[in-house]
Amino acid sequence: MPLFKILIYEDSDTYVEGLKFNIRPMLKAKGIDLKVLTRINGDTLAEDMEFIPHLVIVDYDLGDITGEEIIAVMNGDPQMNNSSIILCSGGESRDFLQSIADKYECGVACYIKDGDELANAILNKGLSLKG
Amino acid sequence: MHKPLKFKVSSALKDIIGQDLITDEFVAVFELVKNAIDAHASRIDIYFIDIYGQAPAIRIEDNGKGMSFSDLRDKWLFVAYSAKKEGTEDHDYRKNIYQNRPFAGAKGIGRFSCDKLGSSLLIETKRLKDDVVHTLNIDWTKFEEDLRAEFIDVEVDYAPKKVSNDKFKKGTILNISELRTNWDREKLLRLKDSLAKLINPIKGNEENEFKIQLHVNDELKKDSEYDEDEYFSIVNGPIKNFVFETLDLKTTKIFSSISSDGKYIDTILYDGGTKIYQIKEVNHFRRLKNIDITLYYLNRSAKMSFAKKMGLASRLYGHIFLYNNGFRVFPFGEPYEDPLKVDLRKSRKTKSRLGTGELIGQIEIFAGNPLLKEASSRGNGLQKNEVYEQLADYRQGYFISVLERLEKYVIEVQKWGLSIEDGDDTLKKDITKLLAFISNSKDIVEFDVPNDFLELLDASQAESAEAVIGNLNKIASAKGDKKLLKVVSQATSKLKEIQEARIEAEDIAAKAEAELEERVSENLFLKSIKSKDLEEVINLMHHIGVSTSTIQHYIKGISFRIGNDIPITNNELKTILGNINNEVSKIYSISRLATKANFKMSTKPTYIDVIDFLTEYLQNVVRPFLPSKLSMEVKATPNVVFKHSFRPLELTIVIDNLINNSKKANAKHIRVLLEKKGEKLQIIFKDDGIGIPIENMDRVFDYGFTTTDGSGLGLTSVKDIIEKNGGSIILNRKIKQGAEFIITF
Repeated sequence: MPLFKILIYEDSDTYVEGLKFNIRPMLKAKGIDLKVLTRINGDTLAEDMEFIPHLVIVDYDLGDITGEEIIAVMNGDPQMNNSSIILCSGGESRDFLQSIADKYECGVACYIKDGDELANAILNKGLSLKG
Repeated sequence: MHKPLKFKVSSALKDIIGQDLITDEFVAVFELVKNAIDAHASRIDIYFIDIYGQAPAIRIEDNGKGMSFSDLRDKWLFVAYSAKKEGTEDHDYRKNIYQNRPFAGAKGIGRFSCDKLGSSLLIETKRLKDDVVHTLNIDWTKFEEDLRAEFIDVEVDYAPKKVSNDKFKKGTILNISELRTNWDREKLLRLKDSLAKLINPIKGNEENEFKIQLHVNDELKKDSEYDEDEYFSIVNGPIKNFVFETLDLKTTKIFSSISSDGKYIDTILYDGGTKIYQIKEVNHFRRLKNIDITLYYLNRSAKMSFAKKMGLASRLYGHIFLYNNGFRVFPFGEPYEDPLKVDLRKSRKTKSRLGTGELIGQIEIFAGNPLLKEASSRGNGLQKNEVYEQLADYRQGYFISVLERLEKYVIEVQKWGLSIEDGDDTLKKDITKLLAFISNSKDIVEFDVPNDFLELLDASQAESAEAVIGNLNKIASAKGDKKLLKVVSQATSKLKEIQEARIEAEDIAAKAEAELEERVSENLFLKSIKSKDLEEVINLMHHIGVSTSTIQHYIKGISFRIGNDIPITNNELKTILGNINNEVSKIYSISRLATKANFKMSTKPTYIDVIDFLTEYLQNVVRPFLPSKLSMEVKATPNVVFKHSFRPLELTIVIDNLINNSKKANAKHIRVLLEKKGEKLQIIFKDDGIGIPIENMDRVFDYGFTTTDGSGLGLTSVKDIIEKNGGSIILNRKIKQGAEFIITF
């Protein structure tokens, strides 16, 4: 069974638990296993990259830093060539997130947490592993 | 009777007093330049000819007074005789222009510098009134042929020649050939550098009585690749010394001078362009007179500036030079040489002393110090005697006393880097302390305070200010110095004003502190609702967004499982519902905090004073929303702090849930007591509601247990949060009325 690896920068552990609770059975139903690595900030970024995630989800508001700082480091890093990046937020607008994402060449997709779009984007990425 | 005997002198003497004493070619050149200057030359031209060819040569031309035949025979060829020393030199000139300048080279051996440079010498010399040029041709190798030959028997060729060159009015030309070493561009630049140090930088490049010019045709082409102002990269041209022009404004410097009669020492210390102090004191170095010392401290910025302007690092340029009667004495100041033992001294107390790497300056010895003279071996400094020791002893000599004063300012006041020009108050305070220390010396006869002395007092400690004013008063009174007495009077009035102002300020500060203490506790939460920074509101909305998204995910997860017949265990469901309940509580708390929280709500653990946080939360956020029939009392042990790592939002959820339970239990009064017990914090939450029946006491924290219309999840959440944060919660079973929960962290 293919393993879908997500690296998520999110300081709310309950949010991560909720997200996993939501998407895991959907992926499993499609024959895809899920593995999630959660970090609350970018302090161990270099090490995190060794996880070789298929998808990196970065919350914009990480308390002491913004998700943009993490994206700035990842931008241009060859290790990120095979990873997709999503920038999301529970409080900022999509336009605001897009204005951040447009600064970087690594191609960042933007979603607000409210609604289904984010979960669907994650699922689609997982499903793409099956070819 | 025996015939008397006489000394014989081997021709080898030539090497003993020539090559062996002249340590290197640079010393040789400048000995010859010195001789030219002593011959009253105002201009010396040094030519390096055909340096890369078959017959390289050096020619040194001066426009000094020149020599007559008898001068050549009876002085120049008279080894070790120095007319300068005898005083017969210039007996007619002395009355004229140059009578104030003593002679730099007075040993009578400098002429052998020619031998150091080349084995063949042709002297051409002419006095103004003569109509012939006297020439002397010396082959130094003749002295080397047979050591048994006597020095006086080696012949040198003399010939008078008619004047063929109208331009040669007077002076001496030394033509040195059969050069003993090669000269190249790099060596010539070093020679230029060496000769530059010969020029006293204090006087400035235009004021020097003589000019030295270097001419090397073979390097003209290379020189043309550089701009005119790239002095240090160009070989040809005048010799200049820029070192103190480079340094003058930016560094801390000290000037000290022993008067010509040897009675007093004047010292001035500058921090950048600001005079810190100027004093006159009794000179205890009895054997010294007419000596000036200038020292600059090179901080990092000064070193960088130096390197940029001079084209090389200061440590490669040199450090403390010594000039005797206007001429430089080697090896003082040479990189890697330490004749004054400055580095040796520093190595014994690194943190409180300066080394040659941090200093540049000079010692100038003027007339009146006959016992301060060069060692016979050129390049070995001055002769060691008692007078020299008074000047240079590294423990208690004059030079060290000046260095110590500079160190005291740089290290104790500037702390190696501050400057009075930065306006730092700590530095001003330390300056006053320093002035108090210096002015306390009994040797001080005059004291000139800095221009901003009264301003310094502003920043000073009372003790130092009083001490310096007291000392200045003594000095001024002893001397009858009206100007200083006036300063003292002004300073005394100023000090009184300052002291009165300080007392007043201290009273105000004490009152303000008491007020501030009262207000600090109001700072975390606002007492009233008011408009908040947009950023704060957005931050709180973010938390609501996260909470609602979380709830959405759980709901979708449950829906998916139900719709696809994926089983959910009861335990899973409990966890999910508990998490949903937490998120709902957060939203509820946030909705109340949105207009009140004066701190950034973070879902990450934050190190906060729990007593302060809860007290403010209860008083400023909870109390306003209580029903009118429910009162609340909050008591906390005064002046006690308990800092712990919490997610602030979770702490509010704990309180909110307990309050809700009290409301549902129809309580009329809630009492919250926050007490520090040893290292622990105890929070006692008591209400006077319907209480908890004994049979239910064991189950109050159970998931879903409720005796009201609540969800039964509140106390479960409370217990989870408290335990997750390293605490515990128990129900006090001994209470007869109402309910009491004891939380301990």
